[in-house]
Formats: sequence, structure tokens, C-alpha cells
Amino acid sequence: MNEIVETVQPRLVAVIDVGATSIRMMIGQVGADGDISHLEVLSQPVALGRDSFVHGEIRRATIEDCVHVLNIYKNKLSLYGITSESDLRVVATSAVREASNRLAFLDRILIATGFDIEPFDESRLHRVTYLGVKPILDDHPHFLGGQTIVCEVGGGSTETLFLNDGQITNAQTWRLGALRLTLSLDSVDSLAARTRHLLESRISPTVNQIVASINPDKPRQLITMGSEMRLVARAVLARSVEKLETIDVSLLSQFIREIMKLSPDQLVTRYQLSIQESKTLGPALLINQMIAKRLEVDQIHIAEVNMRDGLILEMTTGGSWVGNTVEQVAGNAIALGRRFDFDERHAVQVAKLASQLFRSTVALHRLPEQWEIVLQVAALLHEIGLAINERSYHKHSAYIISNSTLFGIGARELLLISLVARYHRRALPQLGHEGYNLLNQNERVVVSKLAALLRIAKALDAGRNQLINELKAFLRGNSLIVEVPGATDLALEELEMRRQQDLFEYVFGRNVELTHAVELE
Amino acid sequence: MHNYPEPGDRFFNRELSWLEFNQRVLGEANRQETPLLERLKFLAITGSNLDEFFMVRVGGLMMQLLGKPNTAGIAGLLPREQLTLIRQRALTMVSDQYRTLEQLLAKLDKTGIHRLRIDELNESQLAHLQWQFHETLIATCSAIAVRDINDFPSMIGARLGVCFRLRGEDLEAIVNPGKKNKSNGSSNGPADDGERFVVVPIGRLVNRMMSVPMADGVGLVMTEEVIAHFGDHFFPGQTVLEALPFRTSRNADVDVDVEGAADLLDGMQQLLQSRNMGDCVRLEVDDNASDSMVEFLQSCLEIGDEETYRVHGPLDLTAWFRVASMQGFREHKFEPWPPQPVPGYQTGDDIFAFIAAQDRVLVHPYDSYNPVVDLIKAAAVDPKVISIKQTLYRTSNPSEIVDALQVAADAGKHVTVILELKARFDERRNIDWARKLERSGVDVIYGVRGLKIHAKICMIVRRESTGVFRYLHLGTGNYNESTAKLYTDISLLTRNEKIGNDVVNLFNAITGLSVPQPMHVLTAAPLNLRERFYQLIDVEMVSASKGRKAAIRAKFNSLADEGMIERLYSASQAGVKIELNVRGICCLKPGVPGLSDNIRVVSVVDRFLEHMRIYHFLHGGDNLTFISSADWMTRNLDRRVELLVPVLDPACARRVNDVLGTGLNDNQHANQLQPDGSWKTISGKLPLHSQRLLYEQACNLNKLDPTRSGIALSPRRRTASG
Repeated sequence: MNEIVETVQPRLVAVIDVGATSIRMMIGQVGADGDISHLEVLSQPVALGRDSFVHGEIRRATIEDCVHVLNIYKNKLSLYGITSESDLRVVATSAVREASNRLAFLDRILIATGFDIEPFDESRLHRVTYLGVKPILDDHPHFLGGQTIVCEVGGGSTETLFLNDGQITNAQTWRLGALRLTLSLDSVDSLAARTRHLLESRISPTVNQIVASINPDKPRQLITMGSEMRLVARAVLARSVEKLETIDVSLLSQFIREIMKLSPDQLVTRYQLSIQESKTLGPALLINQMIAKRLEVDQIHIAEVNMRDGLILEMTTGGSWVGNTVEQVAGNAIALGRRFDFDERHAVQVAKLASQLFRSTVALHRLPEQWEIVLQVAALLHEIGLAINERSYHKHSAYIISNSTLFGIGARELLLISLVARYHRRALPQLGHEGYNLLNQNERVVVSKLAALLRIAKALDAGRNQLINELKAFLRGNSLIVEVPGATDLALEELEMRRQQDLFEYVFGRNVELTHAVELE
Repeated sequence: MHNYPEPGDRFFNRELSWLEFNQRVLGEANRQETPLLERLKFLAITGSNLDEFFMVRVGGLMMQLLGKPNTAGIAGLLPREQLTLIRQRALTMVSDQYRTLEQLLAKLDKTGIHRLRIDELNESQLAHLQWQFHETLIATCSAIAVRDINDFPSMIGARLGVCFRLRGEDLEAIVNPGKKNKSNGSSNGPADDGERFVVVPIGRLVNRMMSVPMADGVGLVMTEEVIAHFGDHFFPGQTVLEALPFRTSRNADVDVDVEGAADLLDGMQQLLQSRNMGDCVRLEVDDNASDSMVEFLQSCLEIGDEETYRVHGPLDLTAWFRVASMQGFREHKFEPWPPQPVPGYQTGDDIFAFIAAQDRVLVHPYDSYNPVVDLIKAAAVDPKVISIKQTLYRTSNPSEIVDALQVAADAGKHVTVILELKARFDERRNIDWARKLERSGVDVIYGVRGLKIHAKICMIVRRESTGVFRYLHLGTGNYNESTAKLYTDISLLTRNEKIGNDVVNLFNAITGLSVPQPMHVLTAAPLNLRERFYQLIDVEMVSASKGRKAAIRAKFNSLADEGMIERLYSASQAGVKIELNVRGICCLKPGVPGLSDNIRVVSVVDRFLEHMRIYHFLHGGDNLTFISSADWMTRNLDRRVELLVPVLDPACARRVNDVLGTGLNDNQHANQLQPDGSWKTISGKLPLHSQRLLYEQACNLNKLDPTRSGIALSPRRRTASG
């Protein structure tokens, strides 16, 4: 037999990030072993942040500047043959998100360049930031003990991730950015001592909020990201910097003192910055330094990664959740559940069974794997509404979920999770229901399918005693057979399942049967 | 307490240092063991060098005298003082040049090449010349009557002419038929007593020498002497009272940005705009010229005795290039040292596979330049190649590289050429082929505003089965196939990923696709090359101060940057051993007690023009080795796009270091700079002739190449690289 060996060409992918001060593009190459190498990194300054933060909207001239830059990038992409949508992500952050004419902006870009820009909400940003920094955390296990704060000061906002013993406990975006800050002091263009005082007084309240959730008795480590901190690393260490560098906070303070004596022009020539960068360098570093001081750390870690790295990683894994990101999201959901004093063992068990069901019924539901996390989080949180009232608690659960912040979960996903939780009991989905009426047809189907699986999973722990360790599910005739080897006395579960399979039958057109025995094929 | 020299005494003057370089070239013309025609060529080089020096540097100083007369150079000399010293030095040099010429002509005479003066010719030879004069010269040369300075022909650059003093009637009608006589009532013309002056400029295309039949060999007569002799044929009915060949050198028609004079002319844009750059900076005449003729020329050219050079012999030494390169006379020329094939590679092999296997260093002109040309030619037709980006500074004409780029663009590849139009004297040529490239669809970028692109880089992006790779050529020399046979340079061929990333960033920045991104292994001027050199020197200083070994060795063309020299002084004082092989200008004073005890400077002048730039830092035993396009001159560090490229592959670094060491140890064609600015020949018990040694090494490497043994048969298959 002839064997045909196909060589798999390394995949080329690209990410374009439409930010507050510049549009950046990274072109990466994904090797056969999954290794990602950077082929090109481009950056062009744009005034999106200035427009959006000062005027509330993006000016026409700026929109055309963006079109120009994106068309240059488009040519570059075609050179590499990157044309497929699956190989390219174009995302925008706070400057576009906050602009009142963002839809006009997105439409104009689509018409002029063909790029469908995805405005990133905070949770998406947290998720890809975490993905970007994760390889560094994995390579340096000391970050997985105690409290680790990951911080990126951007043009429009500051993003923080808190890890407690390696588990993300909090992810936040603060309206404190280097450009936003600079613009707020626009009349003052030199960074003399008086300005520094002014800056510190503006930064201080947010920094107080940022560090509020820190446990002062546990050790802390600070990882910073962003081009300004990398500049400090290069200047202070006087060599090319590695993926992760560590400097003393005192050195950072000294560096800030020195650069604050320099005019923007001097900064431009000394550090090869653009005029815009020269104005935001001081404020960006000051925010980092103040966070470090309030955390009372002596050293500051500087990571040479960014959101674009995370996006590329996400793309290379087919848009699905990567590695322990799932665990991080689940952990974060459990932390939320605990705040509402939920039945954790039951919630975790339902989530586990729901996942197993999801995986063993792929042929039936045909949903991509990224929906598993939605089901899982809905399973973890389906009962938190009990904290308000047992009556209609599924509606309270939905309300609490949709008004919470969960690490890595975007607004749309949060809405879907809340609806899946809502439909774990009682009424079947109806177009008149709040939230459900906002969904498109595909999303409505997804919610129905996931809620149907959740009802079965919940039924399988009806006794709240976690009797079932694992399950298998397969189709036989018109039925889905759920086989639970080794389990005994499942009368309550069987009863409950019969009661809860109406949605399943409605969605999949099949009934569900529970069996104890080992089925012979 | 330190007793360092005062700031004004810490540096050699840049111009005087350059003149010493030219003197060393002249030394090669006086070297007895060098073949005769090669000696003549060295002499012609000194002439050509001096011309350029006057037009650019002296011209610049004269402009500075007008605009910023109180601005001193790094050695503390004002423009006026520098011009005085330059004249003193140049006078001695010119007299050395002509003494050398006299000696060489005597030797040429014995080989059958006879330089003849008009009064030495017999009748038949004179008749032959007269025939030639009528056939060629009278039609190509025109006579211009000069009444006052406004009539004087412009004669751009360095040009020869013959000035005639005539007596006779109606001269104007003769030389400018149809033009009416000017009113002479108020004329202050240079000669108003019936005598007239006429100038015959000699065009660039006119041969500098005319041959006459000889029984034994070749007889050569200088063309200006022929014109002077038969000048009366231009002016029938006039009496030629005197005929004087002369040569003028004009301030080069330069931009402020142009190399050479930019440091002098910094901030003088307005003056430059308001003034004609074509002012005369030098007048050369025969030392027998009459005072009245010289005074007439001086008044027309608005110069005085300080700009006038009376020479003892035929004007314009560059004329001898032609004689030096005459066909035949092999015994009077260097034994040929043909570039050697590069081991493991011959034209037709898969150049990509050759580079992919390991980094390659080529040492030109000992190693052939073909692999570089082949790389670009192969890229042009290789279906896997996506794009080619390259800088072009001074290229040869015709150029296989330019042709290949055109082929690539025709084949639909994305080709970007970053072209530097300001390479002086080459502009016309550049513009012609740039248009040609543009017509083929090459994206031609005409430099970056305010910066000359001097880095020599070619990047070929190739999509292979295992990924996208960047094949790079990084060099110290221009992409010029002709000079690659005459200049010593280093080529690095690599597909190193880190270097590739930095080169991509640099190209994206130059072509305006991105703001400059931080570089990781390369260093570029004007971004941070100066700082990087400072850091590297500082590291050696720290090592030395802690009692560890510290050393800097480098080879480049010129050292004139004040900051860099001061840093080297500090390093020397800290105990760092510094050895520099500087071909040309060196403003650093080596071996001065308390200032630069640990610095040694040598200079090699030999058959190939030393052009490679190599920098080596001990760096605590890391032995960091770099090649670069940059000298340690202010213009390289601050006003040009230059690259410092680490040689990362250990074998390549070893070879580059060997080349560096060989040059530093030369004791045959090397001179050592003394604390007083003089240069002394170096001698050693064991002769070490660096260029010969490097040539022999290249031959040996080639002989040892198993693929060329002639025994092992190596079937050539289509390689499956990529």
C-alpha cells in the first residue's frame, strides 16, 4: 500500500490590535510542535485614544488614518498569504469601545479594508492577557504560590489579574490609562515635580482600589507588562531583555526621576520614542511604580508578552479554551458561588457530570468544544439564586450571573450562561423571556441544548450525595442511554430524570434512559 | 595627579590626518619591490584622492570660513588655521608626488613607455600630432574669450584648460563670431592693452594623452601640451604670446547632507542656498608659468596665492590611471590574485541549502563575491521566494544584482529596494536604473529624509515546507560586483531567526511600515549604535578596573568622532588593551602617557583597498565579534542608517577574528601611528604580509574543499531544500 506522507506547512497567523495610541500587528508562525515564533511586529501611531477620551468620538481624519494603516498591514498579510479569516484576528480595545461613533468606525473599516474588527470587552481582554502571560507563569512556578498580581498599564485603561496560589481570584479593568491621564493634564506638558504631584494624586485613588483585595499577610509578587516597562528593563539592564526580567523597584523609581527631568523631545531622541510615547512614558511608569509601592514589593517582574501573544495562542488552539484557562474560569465561578453560600459539592458534581455528558454526546448536540465551558459555569452557578429566595431561584441565579464579573467570560457568554442556568428547571425557553429575546437563532439553539444537558446532569445528583463517578452516554434506537457503572440505588436519580427530560426530548427528539449494568456491545 | 593634555591637544586634526593617509598611499608608489605600473596607479590614486579632498573638505572649510569662521574642529583649530596647515602639508605632498612621478617616468622610459614633451618630438611625430589635433581636438574644444570674471568658463569639478595670451585685432569676432563687441570704454578687463586672454577648457571625454609613433614602444604626449603648442590654429591671424595649461578644482556641488562636508556645513543651509557652491578652491599651474598669467587666472577665479599650486610636471596625476591599466606589460603589474571559489559551494548549487546548513562568512576579495550575486539571482526565480528587500548604495554598472531584482519583480515577487541617491558622483547612474526597476514594479524607496542609508542588507523571505525563513546577506561593502574584486570586505550569509527579526524590523521602519521596534541582536544607527559601542567599551573598562582581562580590537576606515575617542581614552586609562587598524583618518592620539598608553593604531595600505569594518570586544571571554557598515565617525553614528551585526556562529567568528588579527599584525604594508601624528613603518623578524596571507588562506581553504578534490564524484541532484 502506498503511504502518502503529507508535510504540514507551518501555519501563519496574524493579530491586529487597534489600540488607544497605535495599531499594532504581529505575524506569527506556528510550527508543527505548536511553537509560535514571531515573523514580524509592526506598529503605527494613531490618535484613537485622544479622540475617544477627549471628544468622546473618533474624528473623521483619524478614521482615515486607521484605514491607511490597516491597508498597509493588509498588503503585508497578502504577501504572506494570510487571507483566511481563521488566521487573522483584528481586535479593538478601550478607545474604540468608548467612542460614541464606534459602529460608524467599525463599518467604515469593514468597507475600506475588509477587516471585521472585533471590539474587545474587558473579560475577553482578561482571558487573552492570561493566555499571553501563562507560559511565563508555567516556566516560573514561584508565581503559582502566594499572591501574584499581573498588571498591564495601557493607554486607556489598566488591567489587573490577581492570582492566589495560582488561581485567578479577580480580574479587573480600571479606567486609569497613561494616555487618559496625560490628556487629563493636557495643559501641563512638562513633567516637573508639580506635575508629578498632580499625577500621583490622580493615580492614587485607583491604586488604592486595585490593592484593596490584597491579603497583607501573604507574600506578593508583581508582574508587569507593556512597552514602557520593557523600555525600563532595556535601559536599566543595558542589554537585550529576555521574556522575563526582574528589576528592583528602587531602580524603577530612579529611572522615573531621571526621565521626568527630560523634555518630550529629549525622551524622543534618547529612547527612540514617538512624541506620543514620550508623553505617556512617565505616567505609565508612575502607575506601575505606585502599584508596586502600595503592594510593598521590592522587586518588579517585567514580562515581554502582551495581549497579541495570547490572541495568537488562542487562535492556534482553534478558538477553544486552552489548558488551565478552563480551570481558572471554573475556579473563579466557584469563588463567586461561595460568596452566595452555594452547595459547592453538588454544584461541582453537576458541573462534572454535565461535562461528561457534553463530551459523550457530541454526535448528538454537534456543538464546538468551546461551549463546554459555558455549560460548566452554568452548572456551577445554577443554584446561587437560592441565596435570595427559593421561590423562582433559577431566575435569581440568572440575574446574579448576568450582573457579575467572571474572569475570561465576555458579556455575551455571560448572558448565555445565565440563561442556561435559568432553564435548568421549570419553564422551557420562550421568546418572551427576558434575555432570551436578545439571542439570535443559533444562540437560542445553543441555550436550549445546554440547558437540556444541564437538566439531565442535575437529575443525576438528585440525592446530592455524589454517587456517580463517571458516566457513558450513547444512542440506541430512539434513546440516549446513560450508563453509570458501579452505582447502586439510583431510584431518586431515575425518578428525577424522568421528570427533567422534557426539554431534552423537545430539543433532541429522544428520551433518556439510565442503566446500571455494563452494556454488551 | 593626572597630567592629561589640554582638550585642544587631545586630538589630531582630521584633515591633516587624512593627508597623512594619502601620504601612506604615496608611500606605496615609492615602494621599490612593487611592480612599476602598480606604483604608477598608486600615484594616480593619490592624485584622485587629493582632488576629492580639495573639492569636498577644503571647499567645506572655505565655506565655513565665510559662515562660521570661529567654529573650531575637534583638535581646536579654526577654519583659517586648518587651511594654512593643509596648504603647508599639501605643498610638501605635491612636491613628493611629482618627484615620484619623475622617478617612475624614468623607469617607464626603460620599459618602452615614453612620456615626451613637445620640444622632444621629431618632425614626423609633430606632424602626426598636428593631424590628430585637427581631427579630434579642434572640433571638441572651444575657445572662450575672457574679458572679466563673468566670462570665465564654469568648469565644474576638477578640470583642465589652457589659457592663451594673444595679441591681434578683432579677436572677439574670431572666437565668438556673430556676437558684437562690448563697449570697452569702461571695461576693467584683465588686459586692456591690445592683449587678450582666451581659455580653452578640455572636456572630460578628451583623452588625456596622445600617442605618437616611436621606434621602440609607445610615445605619449600630454593633450594640454598639444593644445598649447598648436593653439594658434584656434586663432588664425593672432599671435599667441603665451599658452599655459592650468587646472581648477571647484567646491563640489554638494547638499548639506552629503558625506564629507556635512559636519562642516551643519546649520549653514541659508549660506549654502545664497552662495554658489562652485567656487574655485584650488588652481594648479606649471611652476614655470609667468606671474602675469597666474595673476590673470587668480583674478578670474577670485583666489590668491594660498589656493595656487605650482607643480613641477604635467598637471592632473589621475591621467596616469590609463597608462597604469594599459593592456599587456604583465611583468609590471601585480601577479593576479583571482577571487577563490567558496568551499562547499559553486555557482549552480542550491544557495539556500548552502546557507541553511550553517552561517557563512566570506572574506572579499579573496573569497569570491559570486555566492552573494547568486543568492539574489536564485531568489529572483525561486518559486518559494515571497519577497526580496535590499539596500543599494553604490552599485556597479551594469549590475547583475540590479538585473536580478528586475527579474524578480517581473516574476511577480515583492521587491523593495532602498536606494541611496546621495552617493556622491554616482547620482546619475543611480537614477537611471532606479527608473528601470520602478518600471518592473519594484518598490523603490529613495532613502529616508535626513538620513543616508549606509547599511548593506539583503533579505529574502522564502516560504519552505518547514516554515518561513529569512535568508540574509549582511555586509561591510556595497552591492558592487566591480569593487568587490578590489576592496576588502566581509559578507555574512545567514538565516538566523533573531537576526532575521531585527532586519525585518529595520526594513519596516525604513520603509515607513512601522515605527522602529526594539532590536534584539542587531544595533542600528542612528537609533542606538553610539550607545551600544559606549556600553561595549564600558564593559571592558569595568573588567580592566577589576583586574580582569579587557581588550578591544577593531578594524575600520576612519576614527574621527570625539565622543568615541574620549571613551577609548578612558578605557585605555582604565587598563583596556586597544588595538585599532584604521585605514584612513585617525584623530585619536595613541601611546600618549597618561592619556592613551594602551592604545596602538596601525594602518594597512596595500593592493586592495582596506574597507571591512570589524569590531571585537573581549567581554569577559565572550569574544563578541561584529561586522558593520559603520566607521567611528560622527556621521556614521548619528546621521546614517548603519548596522552593527554580531557574528554569532563560532566558526564564522573565528574566521573574522583571524582576519582582524592578521591585519593588526601586518609588518610589510602597515604603518604605526606615533604620538606626534607621524606614521612609522613596522618591521618584524618574520615578515607578515596580511593581504598575501589572507589570499593564500583562501586558496588553501579552497584546495582543502573535499567537494573539489577531483577524486570524490559528487552527483548533482535537484536539492529538496525547502
